[in-house]
Amino acid sequence: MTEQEIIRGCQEGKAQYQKELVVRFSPMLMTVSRRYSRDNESAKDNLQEAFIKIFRYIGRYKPTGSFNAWMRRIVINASLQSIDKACFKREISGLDELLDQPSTPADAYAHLGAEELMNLIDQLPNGFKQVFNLYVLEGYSHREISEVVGITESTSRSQLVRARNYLKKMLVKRDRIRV
Amino acid sequence: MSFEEHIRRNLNNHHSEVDTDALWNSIKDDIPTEKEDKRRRFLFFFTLISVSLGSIFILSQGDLDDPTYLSTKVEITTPSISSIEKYIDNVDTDAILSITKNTKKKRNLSQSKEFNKPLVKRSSTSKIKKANNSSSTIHKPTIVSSSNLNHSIPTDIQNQKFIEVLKDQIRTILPKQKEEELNIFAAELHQAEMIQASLLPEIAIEELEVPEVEDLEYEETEEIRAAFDDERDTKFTFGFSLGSGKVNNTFSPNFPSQREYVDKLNRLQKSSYYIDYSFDLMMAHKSGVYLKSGFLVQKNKTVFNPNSTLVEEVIQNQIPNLNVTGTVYALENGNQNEREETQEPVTTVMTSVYSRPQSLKSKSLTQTNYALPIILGYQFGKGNFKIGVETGVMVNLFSKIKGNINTPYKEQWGINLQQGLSLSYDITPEIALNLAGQYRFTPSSVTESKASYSLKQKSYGINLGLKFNISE
Repeated sequence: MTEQEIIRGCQEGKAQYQKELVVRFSPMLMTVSRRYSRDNESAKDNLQEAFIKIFRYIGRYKPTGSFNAWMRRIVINASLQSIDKACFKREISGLDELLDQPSTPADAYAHLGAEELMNLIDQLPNGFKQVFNLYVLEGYSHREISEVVGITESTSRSQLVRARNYLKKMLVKRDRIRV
Repeated sequence: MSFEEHIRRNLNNHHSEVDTDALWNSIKDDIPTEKEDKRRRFLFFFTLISVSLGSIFILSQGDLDDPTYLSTKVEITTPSISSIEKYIDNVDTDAILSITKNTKKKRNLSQSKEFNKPLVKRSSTSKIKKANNSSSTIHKPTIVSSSNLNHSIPTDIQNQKFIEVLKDQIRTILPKQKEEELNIFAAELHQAEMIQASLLPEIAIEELEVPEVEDLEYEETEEIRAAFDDERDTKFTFGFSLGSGKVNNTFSPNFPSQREYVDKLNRLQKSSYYIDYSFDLMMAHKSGVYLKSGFLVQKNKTVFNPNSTLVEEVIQNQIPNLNVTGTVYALENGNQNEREETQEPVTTVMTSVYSRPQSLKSKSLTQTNYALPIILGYQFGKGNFKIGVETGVMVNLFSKIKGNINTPYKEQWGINLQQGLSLSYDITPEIALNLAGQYRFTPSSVTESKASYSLKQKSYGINLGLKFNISE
């Protein structure tokens, strides 16, 4: 069953194609959902919500671009809607100690696989995590992030700087422990 | 390779483990089906069209009490001699004479409700059918209502003589009549009563003849006129109104590369409102059902936040073997640029977003829609106040669009659906003040399919207007 057939079948409301879409794309979309959710359970909830939206609006999807990108965006929006926007502001203060720029040797992260990287990013405070994911993994600009999550551009920039420093610090710490 | 590139490379292709069966089972019952949407749309329009057609049919039927609408299967009850005697004995001479009260205005009697109302008190409601071989009009006997005819004029001697003459005539004629003719005679007698009532002062009883109904006139009192107005089956009003309200625009991308741009259009709407003015003709049945149509001009204006100045080109993961051409827009320094974009078979992925300085000038979009409303409603009320509930369609005749946010718009984009609630107050019997609230929405996009985005609109608003009774 090709992607085009699945899309067409879903647009016609056929259950077998809808199930195939869930089976084929949920692992990829779950990764996206996990990145923007507090924990695994809320990631599942957000993914369910996103799938319902995908099936509701798939009739409007026109096959002139990436279906994956279209679905990812829905998952991101569904996940962002579920988080507490106040976390972006709360996490500005109290973490200034992270602003010193630790250097990050390449061998400190070269060995890290996807799951370890995800666990590492998961340890970021919630606001940092969302901004980091949107900027680094989704390619959003600070202006777009500010519009999507409802913060100012300068807040987005400072959250990103803090997220990077936080990650670097954690990497250095892990590297010391590993050694 | 930097740390962030390392993360991107690892995570963008990473798939998490998911229990897909459990996931499917948890969502399958909540998935909205296209069939349900279609069924809901079909039921809505089917109900709307059925109610509209039914109401048009009812309104076009006119007077439902007209005997010509009696079914041919209606049982014919032939009056007996004794019942006709009783009929004659019960002639309400006071009511007959009250019609002749002196007033200024004259009205054609044959068109009046009062003429069609027998001035005979009768307990039964026997059905009388128009005879095939007669041109006489037969009226269904009902109980006389003399509330609007409460002028007591003493019965004079001429009227008493007239009744006696009629009784003698009936006694002479009855044995010779067939059953059907008796029926006709009873009705003619009623007409004769009315004619006599209007002509008593002028004619001698011996010369009584039944004149053509169309020639009859009687002098009208204010009370009778009011009775005419109250009992008219269908009233016509002409109205005009001015309105204003809020518009909710929903922009959706027609091309994936326009998604970011369209998201901004949705988010950065600063304000959106409409003003409208309309003229309409309303046909209202005494049952409360009304049908309204006319001409409406609605002007929608949407202003976008000046911060929406961003240039972006997002072309991602294009699907091979597809060639689609469309117009792509970008906002640059407050101006909108456009170019043709052809999505050719590509295998590369490109994502680029460029920021540009903000413009201080707001962008706006103004639509002017000219429409034909077809509204069906039901009104009820007490005294001078009436409340109406209505629904219908606004058939778009043509549209004009101008502004800084341009895309191909349809010149004729179908229909708007409308629901509303109205409150009217009769200032005089001829003029009413009308306040109404409406909700309108476009079920389909107002832009062309080749446009970079589709646009659907909802609007909420109120209007205020006057209605003029033109039933005369």
